[in-house]
Amino acid sequence: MGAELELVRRAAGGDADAFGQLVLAYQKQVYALALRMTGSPDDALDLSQEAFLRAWRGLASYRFDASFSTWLYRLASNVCIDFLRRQKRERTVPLQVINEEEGERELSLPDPSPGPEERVLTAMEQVQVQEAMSQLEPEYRAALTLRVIHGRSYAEIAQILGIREGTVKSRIARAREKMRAALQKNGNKPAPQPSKQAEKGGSRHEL
Amino acid sequence: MNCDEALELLSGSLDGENTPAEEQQLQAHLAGCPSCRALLDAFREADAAVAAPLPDPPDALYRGVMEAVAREPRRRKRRLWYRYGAVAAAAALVLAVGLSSLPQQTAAPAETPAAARELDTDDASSPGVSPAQFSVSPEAAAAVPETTADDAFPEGAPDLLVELIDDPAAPAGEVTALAQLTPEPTAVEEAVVYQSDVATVRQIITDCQDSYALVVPEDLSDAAADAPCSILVICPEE
Repeated sequence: MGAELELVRRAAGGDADAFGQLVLAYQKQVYALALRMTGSPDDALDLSQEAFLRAWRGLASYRFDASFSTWLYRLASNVCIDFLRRQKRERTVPLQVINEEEGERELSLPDPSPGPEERVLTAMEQVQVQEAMSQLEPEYRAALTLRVIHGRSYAEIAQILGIREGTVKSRIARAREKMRAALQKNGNKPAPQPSKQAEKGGSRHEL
Repeated sequence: MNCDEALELLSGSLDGENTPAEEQQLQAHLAGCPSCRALLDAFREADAAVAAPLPDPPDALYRGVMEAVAREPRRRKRRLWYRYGAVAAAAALVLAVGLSSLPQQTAAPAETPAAARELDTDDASSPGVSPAQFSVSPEAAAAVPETTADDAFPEGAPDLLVELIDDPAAPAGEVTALAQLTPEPTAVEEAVVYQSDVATVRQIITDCQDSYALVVPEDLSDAAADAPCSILVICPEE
C-alpha cells in the first residue's frame, strides 16, 4: 500500500511514468467495470480511457482522504453511469459478444466474490447476462458489479457511489432479483420465484 | 419476517453484510420457507453469471491513455527570484511549493486552513507553520535590483524563492505581486503565505513531504537548501 501511495504522490506531481504504472495496475478492474456495465467492448475501451484521463487530470485534487482505488472506482463509475444515462434505454445489446473477439480463453479477475465454481460463459450466456444487465438502472449495475466482480464491501460501494450503506444493500438486493428474473426468463430455466408476498413488495419499492 | 424483508437479507447474507441479528432472523425464516431458499440459490447463480471471467483490456487501453496524458498541457514550473526587504528579520528565504494534496481552502483567508493545522506541531524540531496575511508592497517590489535568473543568488541567498506549480488545489490568498528578477516583472495572484518558525528550506521540504505530495525544485542548490526560511508561499500557476 505504501508503494502505491508513493506512485500516487509522484503521479499527482506530474510524473507520467508513475501514473502509467497505476494504469497498468488498475486497467483490468476499470475495464471490467465498464464492460459489465455497458456490454460493449468498444464503449468499455473508450470509457476506461476517459476514466484514466480524468484521473490524471484530477490527481492534483485527490485529497488522500479515501483510498486511491475508491477514488478511481468512483471516477470510473461516474463516467460509466453518465454514459449510460445519455444513451437511450432502448439500446440493443451488440451481437458481437464480449468474449467472441478474443476466443473463449479463460481469464479471471483478481478478488472475485466467493460463489459457485467460476466458468467461462458461452457467447449466448454472455448475451443473456448483458441483456439482463441492460434491464438495470445504471446505478444498480454499478452497485452489483462493484460487489460481485470487484468484491467491494457495502461500505466501500457507499463511498464509491456516494450513497448510504443501507441504500447499497437494498439496491444490490433489487439488482440481484432483477438479474435473476431476467436470466431465468431468457434462459428458459425453471424459475424459483420469490413468493407472492415478496413480488408484491418488490413492485412497491422504488428502483 | 416476510419474504419481502427476507429478500434484502438474502442478498446481504451472500455478501456477509448482515448483522448477527439479521442473519439469525434470516435463517429462522429460511427454515420455514422453501421458496426463499430456492431464491438464495438463484441469486448465487445470477452472481456467478455476472462475475464470470471477462476478457482483459486490449493493449490499446494503456497506449491510448498514455498518449492522451502526453498530449495534456504540461504542469509547468517557473521560478522567480525576489528580494523583499520588509520581511521579518529572520526570514532570509522563502520557498513556494504547490501542495498537490492540500485540502481545499475556504474562501475566507482568515480561517485557519487545515494544512496549517496539519503542519503545526508541538515538536520543537519541526517548524510550526501558521497562516499569515502577508502582502508584498509595490514599493518593496520596485526596490528589487534587477538581475538575471541565471545569476542564482547574486548577493547571497535571496529573500524569496518562488516556485509556481500548476495546481488547481492550491489555495487562494493575499499575495498581490512578486517581482521577477528578469526583465519582465510578474504579478502572482492567489497565493497563500504561511509564516513559520525559522527553519531551513530543506527542513521545511522534508516536513511537508511527509504529509503532502510536494513538487520540489529539482535543481535546488545546496546554498538555498540550507538557507534559513520562515515564510512559505504557495501559489498556483497563473
